[in-house]
Parts: sequence; structure tokens; C-alpha cells
Amino acid sequence: MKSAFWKDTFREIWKTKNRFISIFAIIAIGVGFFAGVKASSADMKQSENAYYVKSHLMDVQVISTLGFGEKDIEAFRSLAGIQSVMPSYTADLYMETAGNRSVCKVYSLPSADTAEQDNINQLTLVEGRMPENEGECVVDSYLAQQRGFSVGDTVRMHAEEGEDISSTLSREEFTIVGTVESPMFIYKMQRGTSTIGDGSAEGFVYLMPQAFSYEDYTAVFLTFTSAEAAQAYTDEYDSLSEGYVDTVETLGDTRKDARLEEVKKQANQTIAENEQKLTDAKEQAETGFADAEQQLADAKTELENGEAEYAEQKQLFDTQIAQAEQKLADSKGLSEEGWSQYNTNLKAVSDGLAELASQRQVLITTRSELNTAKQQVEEGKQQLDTASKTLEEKQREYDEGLTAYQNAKQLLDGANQALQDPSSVTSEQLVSIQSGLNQLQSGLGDLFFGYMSGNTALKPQLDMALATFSTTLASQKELLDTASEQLEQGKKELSEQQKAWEAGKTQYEQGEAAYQTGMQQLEAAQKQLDDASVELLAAQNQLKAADKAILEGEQELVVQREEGEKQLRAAKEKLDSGWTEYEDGVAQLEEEKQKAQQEITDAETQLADAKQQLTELEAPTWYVLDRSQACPGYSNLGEDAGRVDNIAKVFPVFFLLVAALVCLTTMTRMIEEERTEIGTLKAMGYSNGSIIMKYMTYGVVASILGSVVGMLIGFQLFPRIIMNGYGIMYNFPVTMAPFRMQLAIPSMLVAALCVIITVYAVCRGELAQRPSQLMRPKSPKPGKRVLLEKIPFIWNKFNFSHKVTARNLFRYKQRIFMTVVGIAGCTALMLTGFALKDSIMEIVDKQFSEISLYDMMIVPEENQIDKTMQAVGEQSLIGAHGKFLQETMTAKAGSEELEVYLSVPEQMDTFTDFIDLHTRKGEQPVALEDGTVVITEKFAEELSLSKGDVFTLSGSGYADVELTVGGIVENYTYHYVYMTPRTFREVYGKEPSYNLVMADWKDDNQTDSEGVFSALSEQKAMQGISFLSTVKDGFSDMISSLNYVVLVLIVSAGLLAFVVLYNLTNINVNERIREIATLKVLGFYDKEVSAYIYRENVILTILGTGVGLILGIFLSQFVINTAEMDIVMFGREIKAWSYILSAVLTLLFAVFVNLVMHFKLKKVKMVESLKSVE
Amino acid sequence: MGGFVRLEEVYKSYHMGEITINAANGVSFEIEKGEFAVIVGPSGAGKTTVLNLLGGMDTCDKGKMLVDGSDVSKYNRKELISYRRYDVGFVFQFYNLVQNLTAKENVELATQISKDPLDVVEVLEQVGLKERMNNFPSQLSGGEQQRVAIARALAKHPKLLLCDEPTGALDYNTGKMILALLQDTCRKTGMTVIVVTHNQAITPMADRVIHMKNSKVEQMILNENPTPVERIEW
Repeated sequence: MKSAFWKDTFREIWKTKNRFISIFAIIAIGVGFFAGVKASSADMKQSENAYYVKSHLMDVQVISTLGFGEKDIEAFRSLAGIQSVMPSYTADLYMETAGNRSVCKVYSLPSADTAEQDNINQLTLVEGRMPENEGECVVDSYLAQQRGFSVGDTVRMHAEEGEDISSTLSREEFTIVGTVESPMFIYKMQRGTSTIGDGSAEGFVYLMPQAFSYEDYTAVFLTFTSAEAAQAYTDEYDSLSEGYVDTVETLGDTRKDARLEEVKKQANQTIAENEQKLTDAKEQAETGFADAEQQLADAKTELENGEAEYAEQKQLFDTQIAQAEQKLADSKGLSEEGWSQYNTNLKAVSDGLAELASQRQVLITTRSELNTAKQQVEEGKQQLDTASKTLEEKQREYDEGLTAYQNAKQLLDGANQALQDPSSVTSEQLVSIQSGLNQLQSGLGDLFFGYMSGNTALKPQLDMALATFSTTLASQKELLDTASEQLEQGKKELSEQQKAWEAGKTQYEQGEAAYQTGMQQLEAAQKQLDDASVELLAAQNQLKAADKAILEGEQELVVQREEGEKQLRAAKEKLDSGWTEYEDGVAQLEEEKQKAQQEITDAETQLADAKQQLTELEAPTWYVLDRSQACPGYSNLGEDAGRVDNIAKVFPVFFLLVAALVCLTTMTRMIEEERTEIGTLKAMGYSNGSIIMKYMTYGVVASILGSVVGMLIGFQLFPRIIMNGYGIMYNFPVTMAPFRMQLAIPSMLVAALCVIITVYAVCRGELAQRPSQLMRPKSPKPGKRVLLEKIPFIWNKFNFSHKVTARNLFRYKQRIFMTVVGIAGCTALMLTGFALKDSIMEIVDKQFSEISLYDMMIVPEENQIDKTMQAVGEQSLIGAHGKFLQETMTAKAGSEELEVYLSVPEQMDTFTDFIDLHTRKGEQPVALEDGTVVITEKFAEELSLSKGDVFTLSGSGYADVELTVGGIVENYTYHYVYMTPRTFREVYGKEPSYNLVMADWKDDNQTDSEGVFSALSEQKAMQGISFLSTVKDGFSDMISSLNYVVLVLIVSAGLLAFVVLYNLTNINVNERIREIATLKVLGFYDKEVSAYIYRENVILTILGTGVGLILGIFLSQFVINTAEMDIVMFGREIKAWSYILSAVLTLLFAVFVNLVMHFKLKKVKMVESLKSVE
Repeated sequence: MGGFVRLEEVYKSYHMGEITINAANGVSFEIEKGEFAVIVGPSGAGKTTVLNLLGGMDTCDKGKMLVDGSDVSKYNRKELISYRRYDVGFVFQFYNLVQNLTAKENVELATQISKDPLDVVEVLEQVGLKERMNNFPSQLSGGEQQRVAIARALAKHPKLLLCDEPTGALDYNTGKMILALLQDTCRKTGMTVIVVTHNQAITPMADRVIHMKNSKVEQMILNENPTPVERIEW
């Protein structure tokens, strides 16, 4: 190919990148969706299988009625094709934390010495760690999350109330050290069945094997080598699994007798041991009893001795007490005598003391008088002294006066002598006389001296002075004489007073002496009395001491008596209790003898029983469970994946078809538009092939790129979204979304082929023309009058755009057809999505609220239905209940066969309490009448039966019978043939053997499924029970996940619708760009231009939507029919809302697309658009 | 300054990737009301650009474009549409008729949005197509289709009739007839007609001839005595 040609091709792609992207996007969405949704189911299975492989999920679980011994385990190991064997302990127990109780399946972890290879059902740790000792456990992470358990919590495991757990576990308390996921429990909604609670387990727990107290293993898990290569949920695996079950069952047949022998041997050994034990016990008991009797006899003797000793002691005690009492009485007499004497003495003393006191009083008076006298004496003495002193004073005064007088006289005499004889005196005498005279009378001496010294003038004066002085001296002499007289008088008086005082003094001294004598006598008497008092006090003390001694004696006596009595009493009591003990001992011995006897008898009976049982012991039954039986939800996942697959059967194909169709339209348009260029190329001599090649390349590049990108996204996106949705129900630890070649290649081929064929066909048509024709503008398709113009009253009311619209619609029929089909396809897809949702949603509501009215279904123990009925009847919360026969049968009509349930009620009057028979359309009740049967709708559909038709019903244990359809009723799950008991008897010629009980709650607001379950299982009145609410919940869960898938469909369809609408509108606008430019040149406003184009779009969209809704009804019916499983009928009604929603969504998309177009129209350049030739 | 249509220093350039094309490089001219003007020049001289600018299909970068006193160059998008709607009639080389409408309906397409349209049938009669007015474009010859296009332009009763190579796709005689029709219309109705052509030969029929070269007006000639089309040969 020429390089210019390639350049042209790729430039074409660049130039028309919008269109290229459109094709690319549509193909990408179509192929991506197709491949992704188609791959989802396989991815779900593959993801889970990857987890199974990784975690080494069991292939087979074996349970035996007799447990498994080591030999069994060895036998498993030697099975052909066996890969791993893991013996385990299992139990169903309650796990309790603070106020929270869950029914759990309890498993043992593989023991520490288990080879990695043999570690089956490996747990994945979610949090924490694995147990390291027997007090630790790991729990179901989903349960932990639901119930708020966390690592570190302590849980208590226990069995049903009142049952002992010690035969199951060695302890009760466990600490949660981790939360785990198990490949056996991928189904979050259910953890399997249990033998306790309401019959369903809520979680699982793994303990160390040491925590179990079983002797034998209770379950064995096996894997087989050949299973490794086979993927779970494939037919290959299923048939392998069947083979494993057969193999193990065969082994069971060979092992069971050996196991029986083993158990018997073990039992025999136990019995022998027990017998030995019994014998030992008997001997031991006898020895023991003999010892005891001896002991009792000894005790009796001892007691009797004690009795005698007691009597003796009592005697002695009484005597001692009497003696002591006598002694005390004597002491008391003596004491009283002493007291009377003491009292007499006391009186005498006190009298003496009184006398003494009166005498003392007299003496005190005397004393007082004496004191007064003494005072007088002393006062007299004082007066005397004073008088004597005064006298002496006066004497001295007199003596001094006399001396002074004599001195003065002497001076005067001297002076006078001197005067008379001046020679007789010396000068010294003169001086002495002068100073003496001066002293006596100042100036006198000087006068004298003067005179003497010669001054005779002074003589008169001196004489006068001397005369005066001599007179004075004479008066002084007189005064002195008087004083001498007075002095003598005083001396005389004083001596008289002295005499009187002396007499008084003598009198006082005599009185004093008399007082002293009296006083002495008194003191003596006092002393005497005091001595007597002391003696009395001593006597009193003695008496008191004696009394105290008596009191103490009395007290001591009381104490001693009490003590003695107490001792005696104790002795007595001891004796008495000794006796009681002795008697008890005797009684106990008797009792024990009896008990021992009883025990021995019991043990003997037990032994006998055991022996009996041993003889009756049957070979064990092995229950060999495959994954679908042992792992809850294992098969549900397969079924759910199947459901996804069913939905993916048609929907994505249609989806891809719509995408291809739109892609085809686009390509067609493109080639037609490029007519001139084709002509030019052709004129230049390019061959038809290379011209086709250009468009082929364009288309193929777009579709392959689109497919690849679509698949790259689709293979990841859709399976992940859908698995995420199913993640609500299932644990998907591994998510695998591989690129699936087997899907990729066909879808890519379809997309590419679509383009190739389109390009080829369209190019051929164009290339058939000559280049000259091609290069000229294609003669525009002639305008045509449309039928509507023949109806003038409508046509004339049209304005131009209406007319143009009308004409355009009819002018480009192909384009209109494509547009309508494209939009219709998308609407139909959306409607189908909604319809699927409606029909799935309906199942739960209708089946469990309108059709199945029973609340529980109980399967009795074989042939024990009456017991079950009775037990159910006793339940206070249960109202209506009735017997049913339900058998799996095969219905045949023509070449079609179907597995159905035959359901026969015992009581026709309560039948309607449990099942409501009515038609789906119109909900008309259908009566179950004798002679005909009523069948369910899907059943009728599958076998093409209608009322009045006949079909054959066969089943094991039942004859093949022909039955006439009397009515067809609405039903969504399983297929049923309802028959009256009378019809049954008529048809089969026997009584129906009823095999299940249906029951209703009295009040739907008061239910207790756990209570009913435990009551019924306690009475052993059932094999199993299923509550409708549980079934309904399970269904709801399944459906909510399916809804998720449907949502994916709806969203994808919406997306496709959007892209398709955009693309179609885009093509439409591109084709008419010249017309649009013309309108713009003519001065049409933007809105007018848009309206001119839109009118057509709107009509086409509405038309497409309408067609789509109709198409959707058929498509959804087709999809629903395909998606339905054999046993489930989906709802058949599409809700009005679904129509409205799909239509509104389509229209909304259209509005949006047109809005985008409006801006595109605004941008249309007039000049350029009009320049080129069309 | 008079002039029913007057361009003053109009510039317009197009950017095609990295290349800039000056399609109008200071174009100035004026045309009086009722004149039959021909803009002539070689290909790429900027004739069509000027016509498109004058017709309100494009906007100029610089300069003034006065039509009947209003400056078209200042119009916004909406005003331009109104201008096209009410004031301008356009005739293209390739007619640009709506294929899905009859001749009459194509004319009506224009009149239904006009303020003061002429009678459709009369206009069609005027262009000589009364008999064929109910035919679809594909049923008409090129000349007839162009006449429908002219009728569509005239029926709007525009102030200005702009014709871009109206005879470009037509044979000699038909082209002549179309030109005659345009000249007649101008004379009879006094409508200002501007014809863009590369054909120098038809210039004698115009009242005013504007020669363009290299995106500029090279020469403007007023023709005192225009020759009727019938007498022009080329």
C-alpha cells in the first residue's frame, strides 16, 4: 500500500476524530460490557476456586456414628488418590460473651505435628494471631464483626442448658486471640446447620485439639490429588467429587465392621476394667465397714467410762462446795462479834473526845483572859518606861541648866574678882573671860575686856551690864531650883507607879502558870483518846479485812462452783455428743452400707447394660459429605454464579447488537459523505480494493481499538462490580478477573466483522458508480410530498419547519430507521434491566407473603409424625398445624420431564392456612378439588400444560399415574403438584404416608423459633425444621445481590443510550450542516436553527422510546425466561414505574445531548459550510 | 459623505494553522442606493470576503462598514442575525435551496421570518417561475434553481441584494438570464445589488465596477451608461 494512502487514512481518522471516537466508544462499551458481564460468572467461580486451592479446601468430610480410630485414619491415608487426611474434633456449642450467645460450629485446629500438606481448610487470619495454648481460640471474623467480639475477649462455651460440656471440651472459658476466615464458610448469610439453638449455626470457632475431651475423632477431612487440577463448580469437579464420595463410602463399608470390632474390643476392655473396679470397690467397702464397726464399739466403751468418771467428779464437787460454805458462815459470826465490840469502844472514845472538847473550850477562854492581862502588863511597863524617860530627860535638862548657871556664875565671879583685883587675873584669863562673856551676852566680854584693858569709861556700862547679867543669873537660879523640886516630885510618883505595875505582873504570871498546868492535863487526856482512836481504826481495818476475805471467799465459791458446774456440764455434754455421734455413726454406717449396696447394684446394672449394649452395638454409619453438603453456601455460590450467567446470556448480546448497529450506521454515513473523495481516488486509478481498504482500515482500527480497550476495562470492571455486589453474601478473599480469550476473540471478531461487512457493502454500492458520477455532487435525494400533505387541514396548519420535519422524516428512511432502532434498543435494554429488577423483587414478596403462608415446616423422625404433631400442638405460640405428604416426583408430558414436589395435605380445611392457591393474573383463588390436581405456573409452562391436560407423575415407591390438571396457580420457587388426600387414595389406592408438618404462629408478632426448635429437639420430635422467615431472608439476600447485577445492567444500558443518542444526533447534524448554514444565512436565530433540527430529533427519540418500550417487553420476557433457573419462576409483570423510568431516562439523555448539540450548531460556520459542494 | 453602502479601511485576516491570510487588507469603497455594483477581480482577490463581511456572515477585524447609515462592523452576533434576516438577501453560486421544500416553500422559508415580505407568488412570477413553484429543487434546472434562490432573496424585501458568483454554476445563456433578472430587479425596484464575479466581461452592465486585487480595491469605475446584459457577449 502506498504511503500517501496510509497518510490519507490516518489523516482521515484525525480529521474525523469525533466520529472515530464515537465508533471507538460504542464498540468499547458494547464489547466491554458483553465480555465483562459474560466473564463475571466464570470469574466468580474462578476467584473462589483460587481461594479454595490456596486454603486447601476439603473435598470430602466424613462423619461416623462411632467416631474414628487411628486405624480408620490409616485406612483413609491408604485410599487410592488420596492427597491429605485431617482428622478433627467437631462440636456444636453455644459461645457466650457478656449477654451475647451464638450457636457456633466448633472445630479443632490441626495438631502441631500435622504436616503442612495435611492442613486442610486453612484459616486466613484477619486479626490477632492463632491460638498457642488450649485456653485460646480463633473465631469467625464475620460473626465477630456482627456481634462485636474482639480479640482479647473471653468467651464461655456451653451446651444446651443443663447439659454437661466436660465430655466435649476440657474447659469452658476461652480467650479470643484472633478472628479468621475459613474456606468452608464463604457464605456470610449462613454458617450451616446445628444440633442446638434454632437449628442454624451463626458462626464457627477453632480451638486447639487439646481443648477437646473426646477419645475419638469426630470428623475427618480429605482431599484428593486429582481434585487439584479441576476447578470448583465445573462438571469435571462435580463428577470427580461424586467419585470421591463413592470411594470413601466404599471404604466405609469395609471399615465399619472393623471399627465395630475395635469399639467392641475397647468397650469389652472397659467393661472388664469396670468389673474389676467393682470387685475392688466391693472388697474395699466391706473392709471399710468392718473397720467402722470396730471403731464404733470402741467409741461406745469409751463413752461408758466417761459416764462413770463424771458421776465421781460430781460427788466430789458437791462435798467441796458444802465445806467451803460452812467455813464462810463461821468467819461471818466472828466478824459480827468484832464489829459490836468495836462499836462500844468507838462510843467511849467519842464521849471522851466530847468531854475533852468542852475542857478545851474553858482553857481557850482562860487563855484569852490571860492574853488580855499580859497585854495590860506590857502596856503598864511601857507607860513606866515612858515616864522614867521623861523624868530622865527633865533631870538632864536640869543638870545642863545648872552647869550653864554655874559656868556663868564662875565667869561673873571671875570677872567681878578681876574687876576688884585686876592683878589677880592673867591676860589669858582675861581672854578666856572675854570669849566666855561674849558667848553669854554679846559684847559683854568685849566691854569687860575693853574695861580691863584700860578703858575705864566703860565702867558704868560694864557695871550695868554686869548688874543685869547678875540679875539674869539670879532668875535662872530660881528657875533651876523650881525644876529641881518638880524633878523630885516626878521621881516619887514614878516609884509608886512602879510598885503598882509589879503587883499586876505577879498576878498575871500566876494565872499563866495555872493555864499551862490545865493545858498539859488536856493534852495528856487528848493523847489518851487519840491512842484509843488509833486502836479502834486498827480494829476496824482488821474487821473490814476480815469481811473482805469473807466476801472474796463467797465470790470464789460462786466462781468455783460455776467452774465446777461448767466442767461437769461440759463433761456431760461431751458425753452426750459422744453418744449422738456414736448413734449417727451407727446410722451412717447403715446408710453407707445401703448406698454402697445400691452403687454396687447400679454398677452391676450398668455393666449389664453395657454388656447388653455391646451385644446390640451396630456397625457405624459413615456420612460422607462433599463440599456442597459440608460447606454452607458452597453450592449457593455456584447457583448465584449461574444466575449471573443466565442474565448474561441474552442481555449483553443484545447490548453488543445495539452497539454494532449504531457503529454500522455511523460507518455508512461516513462513506456516503466521502463520495467525492472516493470518486477522486477512483479517478486517480486506485483500485476498488484499496479504496475499500481505506475505510476498512478506519473501521477496523476503531473497532479493534475499541474492543481491546473495552475488554481491558470490561474484564476488570464488570466482574469486580458484580463480585463486589456478591461480597455482601460471599467472602471473596481472592479476586480474579483474567482476560478471557475465549470471550475476547469472538466479541472482537463480531465487532470487527460488523464494521468490515458494513464497509464492504456500502463501498461496493458507491464504487459501482463511475468516478465522474461520484465526483459530482450526489444528486440530492429529491424532496417528496408526504402522505400528510394530502390532508390539507393538518398540513396547512404546519409552518415550514414542521413541514420540513415531516418531509425529512420520510425522506431519509434508512437514517430514521437506524436512529429509531438505536434509541429503541437502548430504551429496551434499560426497560429490560428494570423489568429484571421488578421480576426478581416480586419473587420474595409474592412467594413468601402471598403464596407460602406457613411459618415453619417440620420434618418428623421417621414414622413419628403423630409425636411431632402432638409436640407442635403443645407449643403455646403455634396456632394452626397440619400434616402434609411431600415427595419428590417426576412429571412427564410428551417428551418433557420435570422434577416436582407432590404435596398432599391431610386436612383440606387448614390447607389454605398454609398455602394460598390463586392464579397470577387476576389473583383468582383456585380450589383444590377431588379428582384433579393443581399445578404451579412454571411447571405448566415447562411441560406446556393447560387446564384439563393430562400428565404422568412417577416416583420411587409410587406407581406411574396419569393426572388431570384442574388449575394452574401462581408460584415462584420449585414446582408443585397439589392433590387432595381423597384423590391420592383414589389414584394410588393407599393412604398417604404424611411426612411433614406445617405450622403457623398464632400471632406473627410473637415468635420464638429458637424456643420451638429446642422444645421439639428436646422431645426428639423432629429431624429438622425450617422457618419460612429464614428461607425468606436467604432469598432476600440472594435477590439483593442479583439486584446489584441488574443495577450494573441498567447503568450500562443508560451509558450506551447516551453514547448512541449523541452519535446519532451528531451524524444527523453533520449530514445537514449545509442546510443549517443556509438557515443561518437567511437570518434564523440560534434557537430557531436548533428547533428546526430538534423537532426531528425529538420525534425520533419519542418514536424510538416508544418502540423501545414495546421491544423491551419482548426483550425482557426473553431475558427473564433465559435467566430463570429451572426451579424458580421470576415475576412476569413489569411495573409501570419501570416503563416510566426507562422512557424518562432516554428522554433525559436526549435532552442533554440536544443541549450539547445546540452549542455545536451555534458554532457552525456559514461561509465554510456553504462554500463546498455537497 | 454619502453612500448607501460604504466601507472604510476594512481589514480581515484568516488564520489557518500557522498561516495568516489577509483576505481584506484595507478595503474602502462606497455604493449608492439603487446601484447595480459589480465587484470583480481574480480568484483570491478578497471579493467573496468583502461580500461575506457585507452580508453579515462574518465580522471584520478592523474598519467601518456602513449600510444605510448603520455600522455593521459594530454589530454583535444577535444583531448580525437580525441584519441578515431583515436587511440582506443572499444569492450563492450553488443556490443552497432546501431540497425538501418546493420552490414556493423555499421562498416562504425566507418570508416567514421577514418583517415586510413581498408576496411569494408575485416574486416567483417576477422571476418567471410561477408555473413551477410547486416543484422541488431537484425537479428544476440550475437556472431555475438560481431563480428560486433569487426569489428567496428578493422576497425578504432586503435593503441589499448580495450575489456571490451567481452564474458560476450556470451555462452562458442561463447565466445571462440570471444577470438580466438581477439588473431588472435593480432597475425596477431600486434595490441595491452587489454582484461578485471574476468575469470581467460583465462589468459594462454595472453602474459601478469595483476592481479588487490582492485584497485591496484597485480601481473603482462609475459607468454612466451601463449596457444592458443582452448586449454583452463573453
